[in-house]
Amino acid sequence: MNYYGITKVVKGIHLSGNISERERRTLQSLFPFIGLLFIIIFFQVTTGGRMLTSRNLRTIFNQAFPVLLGTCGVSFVLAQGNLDFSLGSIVGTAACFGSLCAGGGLFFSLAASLLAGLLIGFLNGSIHAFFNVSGTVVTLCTQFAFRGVTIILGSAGLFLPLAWSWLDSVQLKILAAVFVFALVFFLFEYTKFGKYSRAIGAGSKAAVQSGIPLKKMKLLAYMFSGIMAGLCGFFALVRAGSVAPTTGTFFEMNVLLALVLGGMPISGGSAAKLRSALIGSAMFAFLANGLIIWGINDSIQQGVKGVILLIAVALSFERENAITIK
Amino acid sequence: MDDIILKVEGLSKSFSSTTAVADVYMNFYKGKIHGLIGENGSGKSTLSNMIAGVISPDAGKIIFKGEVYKPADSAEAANTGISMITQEMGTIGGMTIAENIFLGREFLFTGKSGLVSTRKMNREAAAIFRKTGISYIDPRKPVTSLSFEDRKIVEIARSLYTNPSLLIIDETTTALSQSGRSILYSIMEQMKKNGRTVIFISHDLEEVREHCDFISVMRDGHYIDTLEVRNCTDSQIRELMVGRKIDGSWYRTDESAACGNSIVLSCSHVTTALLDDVSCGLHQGEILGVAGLTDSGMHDFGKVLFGLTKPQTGTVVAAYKGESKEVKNPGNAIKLKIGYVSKNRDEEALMLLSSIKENVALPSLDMLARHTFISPAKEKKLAQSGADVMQIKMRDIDQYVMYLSGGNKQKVVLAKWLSNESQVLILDCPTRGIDIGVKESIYQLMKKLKNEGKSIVLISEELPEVIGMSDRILVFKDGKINAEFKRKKNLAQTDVVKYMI
Repeated sequence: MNYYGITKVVKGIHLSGNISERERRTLQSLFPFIGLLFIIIFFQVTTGGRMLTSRNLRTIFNQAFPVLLGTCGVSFVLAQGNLDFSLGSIVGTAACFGSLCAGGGLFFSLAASLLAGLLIGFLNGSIHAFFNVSGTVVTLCTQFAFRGVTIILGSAGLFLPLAWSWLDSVQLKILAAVFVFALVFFLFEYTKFGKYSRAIGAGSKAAVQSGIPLKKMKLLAYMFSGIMAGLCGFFALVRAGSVAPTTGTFFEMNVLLALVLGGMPISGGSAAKLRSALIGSAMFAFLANGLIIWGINDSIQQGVKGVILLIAVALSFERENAITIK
Repeated sequence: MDDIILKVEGLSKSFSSTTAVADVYMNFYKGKIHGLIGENGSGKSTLSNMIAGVISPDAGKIIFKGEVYKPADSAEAANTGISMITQEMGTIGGMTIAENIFLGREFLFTGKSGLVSTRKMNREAAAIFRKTGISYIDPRKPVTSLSFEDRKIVEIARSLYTNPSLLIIDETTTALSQSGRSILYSIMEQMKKNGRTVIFISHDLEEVREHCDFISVMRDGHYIDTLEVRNCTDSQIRELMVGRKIDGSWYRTDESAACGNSIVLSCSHVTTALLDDVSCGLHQGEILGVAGLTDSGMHDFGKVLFGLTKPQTGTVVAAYKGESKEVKNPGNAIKLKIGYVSKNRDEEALMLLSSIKENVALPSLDMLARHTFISPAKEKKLAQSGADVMQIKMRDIDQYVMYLSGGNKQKVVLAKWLSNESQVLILDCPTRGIDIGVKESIYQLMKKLKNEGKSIVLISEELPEVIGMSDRILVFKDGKINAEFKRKKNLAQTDVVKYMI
């Protein structure tokens, strides 16, 4: 049986299906909103109302905040159809450098974190772009390498100067979140950076033949992802007041889960939207919080998140993406 | 009348709201090669899929060898004597060539033990290849070691194994080079000699004329008419396909090779893996045709001119606004107002999973940006006017390109370059796999662009097209320019082909 013959036919049926292509796309973009609503209601009910207390909402916001920064940062990499597994290790390393450079003042410390993230991102991007190693493989390697760096530096006992503990304020974080999201939204939707990234995800050969500088875009995407993770690292230092060898572990998985829940296609391309970062971060935070309130064991929590990630990816993959060429 | 091998009576098929085939009655005769042509959407592929057992009809019946024929799937159809080969990849990577040939029929080689004897399978495959004239292929090798073309030839050998009485060839030749096609043609002739039947579906009128006894035309799901090849003209066929008279001429009618003196794009001493010290220049307002065999290097030539392939030696220079600038990569070629249409439409010229708007606007985003901000309104306007100029048949510009027909997809590619105000266009097989209506409009577009003073490089394997449209023709062979022709009346194909092979 000719598989591609079937594909032609299935496409034919699909094309003239009862729901038009546009209607279907609209429906599919509503899923994340429905999902968010569902998660909130589900956990509110099953925790006996403990979820939506003002104290708990504060906690949820504090959990969503770094994930929001991370999802915004990595969205260009994902739009290009790539992945970044080194985010957590960048967070850890950046937190370390933020603390190490605290002696030079607030801005110096912040700059150190950002720079650490930027440089690791540059490393990721250049190996991927210039040596043609897949983004997944490169970032898995840097994940290991810089987790090592974090462990070594972190075990020395790194702290945030007490005088700076005012930084861990919800108001400041709301301000930062709004600013970051607005900036990234602008870049993603209205500039060449965002549009070129989606084009690369949709079809890199065609993108090149339309004049897109492929290597430069790939490098920029990883550098941006890195610097945003660096910012997360700084805030991780602020929140915890110190750096532990495990600072940032699993962060990249949380970010990925958030994006996928929010509707971001794993293969990137034209369907990649930045609002996935916003909705996804909220979904993730409510989900993670709900599991904690239930009192579930830490490792089982990881397992639950893993299963949800699998299901979400599988559901988002049943589209035309799978049938046509990539 | 000669013996009828297959009769189709009142065959209909719809996919939800779309009628693909409507109440078709057709006869196919033994020992004849039947051409089946029609534009995209005419129903010819759906019809052949029904005959081959890939899909089942909604209404009507098929009578094969005098009996009602209702195969459950294409495997059953193959066993009954009807095989089909298509345009897409039908071999499976990860297996050897012999394993692909006998996919689903391994039981032929299992002895008492139930284990498949690879040696017997390979021997049988080798025997088939000798019979079909392709003994250069070693069946023990993995199928991925073959080129796309050879893999297609393996599929052909596979479809012949069951000794079909009826072989359907569905647009397979579009993806084959001259040598692949000649193997296919000799198989067709062999089938005919043995009193069997071939249904040959192709967009290439020339090819259909040369090898078929009859040509049947379908349009909008309906069967229109069957003509005898000996007694009909190309324009008769085209009119049946489009359903109206085709006014104006097909290619260019003028015989002058008028164009400007200034050179807008040139390459000097360019050498790549496929090209050997090539130098030439494109004049302003000129249509420069490029002909040659598939592996003559002419396709790479187009890529080099666009900066897509970096030459090992030599340079490519474009003249823009009075200055000469080197073409180093596609990005800067586009800034120099050069456009490139790849022959690999779906993978290289278009992003299928993107909207028409995104595809059309992409090269022009640089132009549209104001301090990094790209206004969505301006982007939409640019894309919309590009789509309007090319008269793209679409739902709206937010529709994903993958849903368009081949001809409309090509219109998107051309709209892309027109919107970017390209002055030089490098077209590689621009009318391949495109139906008559759109083909006509592309030729008209080329004439219009030439009149506006724009310059075109036309690389094509369709010789009549190159001869009909070009001011000057370069013939490539083995990576070098082997001959050059100026436009003249009655330039024969044979004159040109001499220098190609």
